[in-house]
Amino acid sequence: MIALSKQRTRRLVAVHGWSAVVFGLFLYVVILTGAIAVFSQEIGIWSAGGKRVAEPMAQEIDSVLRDLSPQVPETYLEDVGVWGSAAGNLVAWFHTHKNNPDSGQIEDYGKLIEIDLNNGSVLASYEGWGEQVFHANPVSALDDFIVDLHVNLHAPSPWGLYATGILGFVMLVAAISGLLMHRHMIKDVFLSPRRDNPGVAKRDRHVLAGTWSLLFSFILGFTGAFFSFAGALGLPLVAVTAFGGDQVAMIETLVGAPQVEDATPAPMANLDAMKAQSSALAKSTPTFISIQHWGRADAQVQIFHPAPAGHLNGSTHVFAGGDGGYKGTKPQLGNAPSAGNAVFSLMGPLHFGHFAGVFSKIIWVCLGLASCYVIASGMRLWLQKRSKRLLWQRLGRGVDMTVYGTPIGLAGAAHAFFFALASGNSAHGWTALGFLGWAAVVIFIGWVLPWQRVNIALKVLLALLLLTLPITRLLCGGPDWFTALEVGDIAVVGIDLLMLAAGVFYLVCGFAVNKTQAWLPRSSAEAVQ
Amino acid sequence: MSLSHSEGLASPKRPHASKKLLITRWIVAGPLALVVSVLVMAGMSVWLPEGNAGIDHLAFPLILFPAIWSLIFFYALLENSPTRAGLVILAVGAINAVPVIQAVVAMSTRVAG
Repeated sequence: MIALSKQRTRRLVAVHGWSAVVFGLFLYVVILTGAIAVFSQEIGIWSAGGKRVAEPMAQEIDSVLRDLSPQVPETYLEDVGVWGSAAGNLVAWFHTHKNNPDSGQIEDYGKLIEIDLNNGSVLASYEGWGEQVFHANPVSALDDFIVDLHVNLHAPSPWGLYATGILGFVMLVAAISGLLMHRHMIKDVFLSPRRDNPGVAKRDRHVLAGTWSLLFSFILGFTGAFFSFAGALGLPLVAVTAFGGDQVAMIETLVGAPQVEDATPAPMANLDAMKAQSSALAKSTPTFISIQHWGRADAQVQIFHPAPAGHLNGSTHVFAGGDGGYKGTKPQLGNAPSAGNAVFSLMGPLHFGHFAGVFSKIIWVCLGLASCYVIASGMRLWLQKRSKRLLWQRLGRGVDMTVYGTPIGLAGAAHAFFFALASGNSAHGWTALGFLGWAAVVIFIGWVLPWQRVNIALKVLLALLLLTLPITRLLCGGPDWFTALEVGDIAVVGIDLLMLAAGVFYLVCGFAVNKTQAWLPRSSAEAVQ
Repeated sequence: MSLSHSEGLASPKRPHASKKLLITRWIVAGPLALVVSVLVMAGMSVWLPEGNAGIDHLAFPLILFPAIWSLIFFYALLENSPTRAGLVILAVGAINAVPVIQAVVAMSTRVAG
């Protein structure tokens, strides 16, 4: 316990409560979508109907890229990014870097080509700015939508990133003030909610979930604020003081200065041989390959590997593009090991929770959902004390609408995505419309029904949307479970089962006698009507 | 200054003074803390050592930005006198603003030239 004066404690309580009341609902949306986005890769596979090739980056890709390179403008050979898509295709991003007049920033511009590795055929190609072409593929519309809602609330750049950065600060405030106010930290970890008094039981459950997710909230708030602000605010500002405003020079220093340029044309060495060597060294299949200056004497190949079992961080292996000679490993930042790189390398694993595979991802999802519960229960406790005032009663309805409305909107977006993909309509547009449409339905229900019925109606609606999602997926041409299991697409079956389990859970919750949620006095609830 | 006034709490005798202190704390912990933490992040790249790879002075300001803001915010919140907190935070901001202003002036001169 940290000893604080009565006045300081009072200020901490005020900040803890008011920050949650003002920002809590936005924070809930960001944390819930973040918890879901932990499995964005698996959601991508599920929504794409499984993978065409199980591990595209483990296949031979040299001849495919060699055939494609003469088909793109020479300037696009400045930088080539290669990775595997959620649908199991190979993606090659031939691009250059130039000033985007719309944003005033140096951005990637080029041609993105998606290839079926079963026969080497080009499935689709898109030309334009990076942000445009990365979101052009309709198959990735659903996971793109969820990730963008988490990262920037679908607000334009950089304002969306600023907004989620501020929400990261709010999460830090809640975690630090919660820690400072906590009087019995160890005891509260093992707190058993007192069932004899419903009011005390609700508070106990809030304290229990809050104590378990305290450290997690701090980590997520810190790393989330870093990811939001580092690129949108930090890089341009630090570039001003350290590089006279030259962001390109700063990024080159951070990622490692490029070698001396030599534009002499030279054939590329075999990429598959380099990939095999780096895979043996890293003990994992690469996730990304970057080839700088394709077809020139100064070509350089960087192969990025995820962390093998028992390691926290992955590794990047560098090869000379001309002769395929191994040049060693490269830190994520700079060209030599450093404290800055060591700390920076922790940010990703801590935020995304992928440091121990599916196991750590499941823990991250559970703690994320616990944080969502802490926000919702904390807001309900705050509103319970003020339930006689009409304004707070209305906010109470808003809490229920957001708590159930966000997953309802996401499940509705998934239904719309599958129908749009099957009918050949714009999957991106219909996914967004599906979310907004179901959000409008939630607002209508929350506005029209008596308060006690809103909670039950939304739970049942959520349950129905989740239970019917696997059926919609099948009706829209997705693979059945036997076909998916035959080709090893566990994600398809796993997410279907998760949807069904969550649907049953909410159906049971919806029809169960709901004493714990009915925190508004009946008379007050009726007064709202 | 009495404790209740310095805390910015309601005082039956001098409600205007306590309201003023409450507003001062809001300004210091809110916009001032945010602006000064941004200045510290930008200024740090000048006074922080570059390290082995020559990137520590660039990486740490970006990584530590949430920590810098939290430190300034909670100092402004927990310091008994919001005025004192404001002055200390302003001083920190002014020190870090010097290299930022120098860089902006140099950039403007280069563009004008």
